[in-house]
Amino acid sequence: MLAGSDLHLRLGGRAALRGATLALRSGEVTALLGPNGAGKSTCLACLSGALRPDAGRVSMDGVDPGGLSPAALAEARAVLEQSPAEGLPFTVAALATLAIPRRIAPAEAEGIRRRALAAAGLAGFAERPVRALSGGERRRAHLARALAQLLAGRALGAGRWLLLDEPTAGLDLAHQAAILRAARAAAAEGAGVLAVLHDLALAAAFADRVAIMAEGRVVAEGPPAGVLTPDRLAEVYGLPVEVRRRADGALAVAPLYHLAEEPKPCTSP
Amino acid sequence: MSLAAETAPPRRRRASRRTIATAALGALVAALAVATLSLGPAAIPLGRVLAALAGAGGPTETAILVEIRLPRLALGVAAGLALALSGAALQGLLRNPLADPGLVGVTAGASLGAVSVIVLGAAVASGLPAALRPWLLPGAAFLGAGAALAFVFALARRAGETSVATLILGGVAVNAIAGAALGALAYVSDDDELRELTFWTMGGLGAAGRPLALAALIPALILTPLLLAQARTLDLMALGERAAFHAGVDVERAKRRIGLAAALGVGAVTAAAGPIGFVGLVAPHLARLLVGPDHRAVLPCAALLGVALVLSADLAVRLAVPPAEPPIGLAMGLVGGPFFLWILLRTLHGGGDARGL
Repeated sequence: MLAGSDLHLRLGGRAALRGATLALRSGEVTALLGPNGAGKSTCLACLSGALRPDAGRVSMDGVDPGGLSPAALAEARAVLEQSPAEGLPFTVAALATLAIPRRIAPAEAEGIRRRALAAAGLAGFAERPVRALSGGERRRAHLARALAQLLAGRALGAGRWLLLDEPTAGLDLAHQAAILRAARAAAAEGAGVLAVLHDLALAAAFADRVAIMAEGRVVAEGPPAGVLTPDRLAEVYGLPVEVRRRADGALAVAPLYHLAEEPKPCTSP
Repeated sequence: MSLAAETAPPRRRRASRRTIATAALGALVAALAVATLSLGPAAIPLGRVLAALAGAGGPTETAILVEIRLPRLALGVAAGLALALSGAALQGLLRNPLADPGLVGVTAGASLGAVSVIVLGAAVASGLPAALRPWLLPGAAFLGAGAALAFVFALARRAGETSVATLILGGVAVNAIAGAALGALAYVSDDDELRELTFWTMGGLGAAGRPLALAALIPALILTPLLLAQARTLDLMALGERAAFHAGVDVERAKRRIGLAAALGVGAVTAAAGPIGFVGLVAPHLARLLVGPDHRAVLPCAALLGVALVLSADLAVRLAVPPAEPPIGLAMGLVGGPFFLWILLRTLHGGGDARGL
């Protein structure tokens, strides 16, 4: 289990987390939703061990990630950053290989790299320079890097958590779906996946569980059908949202935009 | 790591290109080393060099080799290794293609230490035992390099993290302060001191005696494996500090380790040879042009190129107008500056951008 309970953190004089509680489970994709500035990325950074909360505790398989060395953390979890730097002019294969620790034998590393590229939908892109790729392909190349790190961690007896910070931001529909399908595949192999998302429809379609953050707290958490209710979404986003069950049982979520500003923005019960 | 196991043809081609480039550079360095021992005002053919080194040569030739040319070779190797590897590692660490030991103030700190001794050291030296006097200048240069680097790293460290931008700005400040202090020292120095400090600041491999040359070689040989081992860290640092941390890099420790290695090596080399510019800038950039961006290939290539650059510059100044010997730092600046500009223009006109250098 990867869980943060009652996390508080001030960043740059602002309370980014104010009692956030969130637990990830192995084999499940959890979508973390909420308005900009709600503390989603900060919460992810606390769970990943990159930030230490001022108060509250994080437990990664029973251990505080803040007390682990960066190398041990890298074996336990992989992270896809919101906007990694461009990096050196590497090929896709070299970028994915970079995340594999040297303790892994070359032949095994080669296999891991191939599986990661295939899972990210980049099997034919191994020798393409990352800088020559489109935005969506580049994002998938970095996803392949995170997946390679996860697979390498698993080969070393850990590799249980995959944390994706806005993996679909700025991508077209097909690339968004491809990235979340890869996340689902990782969960199907036993990893616990957290994906910070802005698109409610993607969360409804791909997540096993959904958590909604607002003002530094997790205000709702559970299966999509229970959490993504019109009232709650209208309250959190200040915008009416239509939620309906389609004939095939899938949940369809769509915001109802108005050209003029909302007459009645936030309805607090 | 996985080069040997690569099966895809393009990778194999690149790997073999790296091997060929590295081997060719190794051969070039070996040839330059032999030339350094054999050429000079008194040319000694290769056979007699080997004989003298084996202890079977004439007394004059043995003396020239052991007292003059071997220390010269040792110092040249030390300078090439330390300057090129520090430059390559600092450029990778700071994600800035202009970073080199000069930019972060290490060279300026060493110069200030050395020149202080030249101008103000007479009083201190008279109080020292005779055995320690030759070490006063290199010691001061080394302390100056260490102080400059400690200062910029302390300045850039805020809340447990080292800011790269502050580090470089701190280096600019150190360079300005040290430059002003050097000017002040030059102003108060007499004619002999002025001449000595002017020549010292131009750099040279010949002035250092045998103990000092060896003293510079040892830290250079220590830092070489240390920095070569940082290849994966430097590759990951290019993705940003957070991404490097996520992939398992202890970012703060990497910064401290690389900073210390650079201060140690560059401090020792500058103490013995004076400031030698451009090697730390030109060698890594040339290495990247030759073998691509991967630090596992760039670091060894840059090290060999650094040694080749220093040794060939030293040969050039020694053979230009024998027996006079223009300073190597001067030659490096004359050749290195325009050469660097040429690389820059070539990259820009090729539609590339300067970051890819």
